[in-house]
Amino acid sequence: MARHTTAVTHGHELQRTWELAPRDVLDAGLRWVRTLGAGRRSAALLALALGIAGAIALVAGPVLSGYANRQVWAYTAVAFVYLMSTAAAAPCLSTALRVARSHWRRPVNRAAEVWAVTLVVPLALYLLLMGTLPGTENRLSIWFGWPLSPWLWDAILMATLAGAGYFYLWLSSLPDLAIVRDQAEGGRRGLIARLAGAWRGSHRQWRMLEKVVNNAGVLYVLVYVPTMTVLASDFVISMIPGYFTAVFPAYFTISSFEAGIALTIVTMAVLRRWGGQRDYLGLEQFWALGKMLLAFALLWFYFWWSEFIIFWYGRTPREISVLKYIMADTYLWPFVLAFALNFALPLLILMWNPIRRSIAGPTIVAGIVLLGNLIDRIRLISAGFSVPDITQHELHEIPAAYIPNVLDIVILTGAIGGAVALVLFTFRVLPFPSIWEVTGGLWLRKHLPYKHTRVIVVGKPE
Amino acid sequence: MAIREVLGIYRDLDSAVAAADALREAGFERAEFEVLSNAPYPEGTFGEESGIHRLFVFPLIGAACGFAAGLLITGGTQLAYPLVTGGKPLLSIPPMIIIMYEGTMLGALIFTVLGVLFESRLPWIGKALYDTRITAGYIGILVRTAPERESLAISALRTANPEDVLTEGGSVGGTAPAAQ
Repeated sequence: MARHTTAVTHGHELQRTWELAPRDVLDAGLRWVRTLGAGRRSAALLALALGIAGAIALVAGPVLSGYANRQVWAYTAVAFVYLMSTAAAAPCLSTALRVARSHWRRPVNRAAEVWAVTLVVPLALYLLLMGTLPGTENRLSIWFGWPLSPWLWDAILMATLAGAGYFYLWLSSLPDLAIVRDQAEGGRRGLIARLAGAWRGSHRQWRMLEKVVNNAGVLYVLVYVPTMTVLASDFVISMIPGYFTAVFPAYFTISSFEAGIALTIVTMAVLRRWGGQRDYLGLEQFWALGKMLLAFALLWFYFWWSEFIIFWYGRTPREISVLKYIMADTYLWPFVLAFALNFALPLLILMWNPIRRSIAGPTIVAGIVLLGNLIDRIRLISAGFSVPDITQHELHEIPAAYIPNVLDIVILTGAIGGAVALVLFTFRVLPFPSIWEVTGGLWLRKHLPYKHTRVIVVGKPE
Repeated sequence: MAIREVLGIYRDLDSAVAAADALREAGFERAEFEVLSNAPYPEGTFGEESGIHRLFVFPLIGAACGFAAGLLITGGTQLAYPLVTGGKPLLSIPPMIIIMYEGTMLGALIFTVLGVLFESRLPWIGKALYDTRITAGYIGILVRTAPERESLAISALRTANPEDVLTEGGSVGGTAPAAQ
């Protein structure tokens, strides 16, 4: 196996991935499945323990404080929305990279798509939260008092999103599951064999897969965007009287895409550092995603500003109350932190070429963005779940900030831990890197000598 | 009509392409054999033409069904039980759009799943020769032909230096047996 990840030529680094033989990729993928290191096992068990503790806290919270008290559910909603903004957003990045047909994305896709396996967690959390959401009759909402709204229609959206996510993950993993079925010990039995089905790698199956995997990803994005739009309305806008805004759902979705990119970068960094994937996740991938992260940090500011300036310039008592509540007074510090971590720091750090063009730079910023997104969701959901009377048309009295208790923290860490545990357990049977995608890229990309340097030659079959 | 299957296993791409060429020279139609591999090769590598598939039809039908169901649930119920509230229009368009969109996406998703299962023959109901060496990086050339042409297929596959040739009766070896 190659010991160095890159070859340097005239200041440009050529990643070793594209100089490996198909057999190296196959061996790396199978080695990943066969050898479950003590570190991975400990991490999975720790995450599982957190998940179980979170589940216990989820039951204990309502028992101690009463199911009808909506504020008790604030951090369950934070956990739900945070997972929707990060884990559920990551597969959208994978779709975008596939549609753009870039070659560097081949080792990245699985790091993003694998998060689709966690969609069962936000779906379960939504089903729990469903009963705490008030009906939409006699209050302003996107539903205009439609029967069974928001409960049934949000549930259908969530179930469709989860179905689309699992379908996308299954499709993109299908050829590798067949490899595990045939080549790994015990692969012919149980779940893997069933998931791999009768995949044989025929010409017909490959053409079908290459066409439909893109379409499945696009379908996922087409469900994700309206789901986040509706959730933004049902969990934030309609819960804060006087918060009349058309920009917030776009802000909510764009900031989720930013967090999805950040989660993918952090996943790649972990796989590179502790998963032995240095041959596949190199500077090329971190640099490219760092640029995308910077672009979305700027978009974060653009959408936030577009909304803020309307309230700021309008200055009616209704608008001033909303600004005071979610930005300038009650939740001032969470807002300042969210602003700094989602926009200001990413801009100030990633604007420098040498930092952006590194592995550590984008990784650190990605960690900052993930923290910033969490604080932003805590701010918004805590505000939404703390208004006693949501049927009024404006905030006559600004509620106090909601301070989390121990149970809230356990619920939040438990939901995140449960999601991480699902990813780690999935990686026990799913090879990394994606064998079929990286091998397919090997046919189309070569590093060749050109005069005194070496250049990348890319084949474009379409 | 009875169909026999023969599977040639090749270690490298050049041998597999040579086997596909040999089959064509022996008079086999492109539809009579298919290539099996553990990674996708660029379209046309083995001289194949773009196959016709009907995959796009499935999500379209599903989306149309889902949209119709959404329209029926929303518009239909409001028209069947017309309750004018506060002089506002009978049809409440914004929530109707959301529910129709949900129906459209759900229908498209369900029919896409069905389309994938159908078009890729997953699960495979019929018989098919297969060898696990294919997922280990070897390339398989699977010939489906009439019983009387089975030996011709074996001969053609053997011209390209196969690792092995399998028939429904088992392995017949990568090279022709020595003449007695």
